[in-house]
Amino acid sequence: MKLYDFAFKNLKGNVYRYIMYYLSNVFTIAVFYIFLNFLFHPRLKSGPLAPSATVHVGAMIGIFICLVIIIIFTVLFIGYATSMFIKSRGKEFGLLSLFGMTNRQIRKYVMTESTIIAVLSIITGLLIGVLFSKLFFMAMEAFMGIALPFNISLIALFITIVAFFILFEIVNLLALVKMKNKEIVEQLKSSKIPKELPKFSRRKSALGVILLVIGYVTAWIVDGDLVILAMIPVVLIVVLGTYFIFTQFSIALANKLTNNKEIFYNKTNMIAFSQMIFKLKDTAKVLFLAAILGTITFTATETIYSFFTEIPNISGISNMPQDIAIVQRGENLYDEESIDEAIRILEDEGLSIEDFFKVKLINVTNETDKDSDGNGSYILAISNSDYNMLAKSAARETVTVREGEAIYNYPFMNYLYEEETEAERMYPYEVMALSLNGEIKDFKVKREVHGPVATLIMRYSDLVILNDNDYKKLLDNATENDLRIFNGINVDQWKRSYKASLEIEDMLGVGYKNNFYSKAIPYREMRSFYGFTLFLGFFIAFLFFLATGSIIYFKLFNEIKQDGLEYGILKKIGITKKEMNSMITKQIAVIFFLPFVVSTLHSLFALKSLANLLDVLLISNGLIVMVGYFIFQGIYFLIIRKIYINKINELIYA
Amino acid sequence: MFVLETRGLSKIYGSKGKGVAVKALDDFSINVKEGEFVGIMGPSGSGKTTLLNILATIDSPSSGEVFIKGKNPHKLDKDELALFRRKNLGFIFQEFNLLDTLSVKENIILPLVLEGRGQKEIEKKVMDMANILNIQDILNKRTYEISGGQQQRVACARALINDPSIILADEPTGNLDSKASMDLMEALETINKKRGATIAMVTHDAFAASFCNRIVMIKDGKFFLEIVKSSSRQVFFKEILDALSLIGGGYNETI
Repeated sequence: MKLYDFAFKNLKGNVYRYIMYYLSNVFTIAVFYIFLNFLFHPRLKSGPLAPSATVHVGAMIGIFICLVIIIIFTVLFIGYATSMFIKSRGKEFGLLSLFGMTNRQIRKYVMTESTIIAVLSIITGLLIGVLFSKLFFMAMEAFMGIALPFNISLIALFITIVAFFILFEIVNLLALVKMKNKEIVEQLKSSKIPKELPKFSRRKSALGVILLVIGYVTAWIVDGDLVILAMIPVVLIVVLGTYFIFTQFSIALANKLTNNKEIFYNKTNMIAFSQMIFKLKDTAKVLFLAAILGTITFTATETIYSFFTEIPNISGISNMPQDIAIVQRGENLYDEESIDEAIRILEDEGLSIEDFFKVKLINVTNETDKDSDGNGSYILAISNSDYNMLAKSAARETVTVREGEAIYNYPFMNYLYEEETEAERMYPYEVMALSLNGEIKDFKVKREVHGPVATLIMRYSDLVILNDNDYKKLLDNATENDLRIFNGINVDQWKRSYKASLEIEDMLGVGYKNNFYSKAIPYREMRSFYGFTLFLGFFIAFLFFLATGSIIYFKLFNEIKQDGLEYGILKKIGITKKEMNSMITKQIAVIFFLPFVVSTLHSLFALKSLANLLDVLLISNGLIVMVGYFIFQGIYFLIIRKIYINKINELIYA
Repeated sequence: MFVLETRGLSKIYGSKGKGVAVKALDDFSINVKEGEFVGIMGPSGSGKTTLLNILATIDSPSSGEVFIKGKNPHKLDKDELALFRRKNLGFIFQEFNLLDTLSVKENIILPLVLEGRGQKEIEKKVMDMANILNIQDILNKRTYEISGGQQQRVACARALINDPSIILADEPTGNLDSKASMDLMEALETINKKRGATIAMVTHDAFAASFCNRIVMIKDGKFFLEIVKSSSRQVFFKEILDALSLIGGGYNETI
């Protein structure tokens, strides 16, 4: 029998031990390929991902960041899985060398075996990757609104095969080198070394709690721009605190519980808790990693999700009174043809026009409000009746202006001070001296109204509302240059007007640059950008999430034989299945949900910081994301618990 | 009053599948009275371990019945059986079978804790046990900090603490040196004499067996012979050795 046969036979005989390792490899390779396949999609080279340059650049940056994360993740995860796998077989290697296998032979044996697993993993991973590429493309299409026909990139295939093959070989070699330094005796005993009662330091446990409290309090109270300043120190403090919480405080807490006889001497608690202490000690670093990974995942998801829900509001799309606006000025002042054509385009797209406003505005200079050079500021004058017409359709307050008076219209809603609208004046003067072509007239500013009534105009200028008579006098004095004709259109379904809007923009040409606006265009861009980010975010989050679970799974199942022995003893002494299941459930639940609870807490405080920075309430977003993760985690927990219990039963009832 | 009664126990391995069916036990019967210390001896493959496993209710007989305090445990389902073991049986194994994660004391009180007994009772009983078995000083140690002999005495304490109807011991001296064996057997003798504990012990060690009141020899799954202690332990030891040479199967070499 050659060494190769030996390795192959061993592999075949121990399938159950390799299966999880193999599945993790397959999963990582599949994800890597799916992403690479997307990266090499011809659509990405043929043109920008979105009509807007910012969205395209943003998307490309997003893809790049994702690629970096996936590469780092792949290397770390495969490295971890392999070293865990090799470690768990210390006894086997010890036996082989005891029987006289040379180190060279063992190395050859392990390398043969791992090459077989690597090849199998790569083949399966690529198959699954190719299958799920279609799904990934479909999701991308839906989120980005671009066409991504199914495509298998051969370059991506090649890169995946070569990269993973090399990665596996290197990682295995490194793990072997580490193993070589151990004495045979140590290897033989590697799974049977009696465990010492975990120790903990009171001071370090306390330090962990104090650090967390400091971090949390800072995150909670710091406001505005200070958030950015405090971010890095807070993150460092919290990470350090978390480390102590897992390596010291958790053991201290469990120890405290075991000292409480009331709780500890209560049926299965005794075994569950004392095993828990050892499990906590063994898994502390893994749980710490899982908690940090989880925090990153949760916080990133919450942040992206918050942007997704909040930005369209903040950016003002939802405040635009009219869906589409065209302003005629200068040489286009009397260009009615284009307006008619625009309406025709909209109707051709199957949209019905609900409102059409045509309002004449006069650009005047406000001599009261001077800038540092002593020049007055421009402001647009609107007649009282025109304003009321627009205000009514935008569901805003109508006003009455008497002759000689004016009302100042600040075209933004002042979110922060909405309730004190009257008190907070955006226009600080009592009067407004309006000058037009050399004539100056003073108007008494009676009051001011906040909120936009005319789309597009609000982006460039404030409005002053004048009595119809005053307005007419001003109009008589105005030249063509001072006039702006505002056309505001409302359609029945503005979200569908994207295509028509692009057509109109095209038709109007450069002459109307900055004088045409359609809600649908920025909406679509934002939606596709944040949708894309959201999707990539979820993708990465899902990856991290599965990885966290797998790492815990590895750790748990690495020791299942030892646990099986203990449960075997207990079975002989006489514990019922129910009691055993309750012990197992308690332990796995702690290992599973402890990092989850810590991650949740961390990310909620991070979210509070984000909320402080953006000055919005994000707690409900955080809770939605948390509930989502909790459901996933719960399902994962139930599955792992089931597998674990089955495996233990298999071990003790065999 | 018999604590343990069996009637015509048989165990056949491999009868269902292919291969040769092996009779590990063949119409074997044994009765143990309250307060008795019975040894079960026999050469390798004679069926000792199979018998003990059936008595321990972790294996079931192909035919025949077992009664422990008049009850047939093999009629119970798995969970009821677990509770039955916990309440009525105490175990001592060759490999000690202590839980590494628990301290010595916690290992001893395990059956009581699982039963949900009160703390005072637990504390009292554990001190009691420790005194009898002379392990007071190691109660708060971890299992890996004490010697094999001490570990086995801890296992004895655990087996005894819930006042079981019968203690089943499987080669308890198998992993111990002669001094530790002596200590252990003396401890078992004390338990038997002072507390009236009923003990059934499987062993192939004539020295250990000489501490029993009665020895039942088993060969090829069948009852072979029985010797009862009549005078001193030393005389009994001689008798056992003679009986073993009669039974054959490797025991001759020990003489």
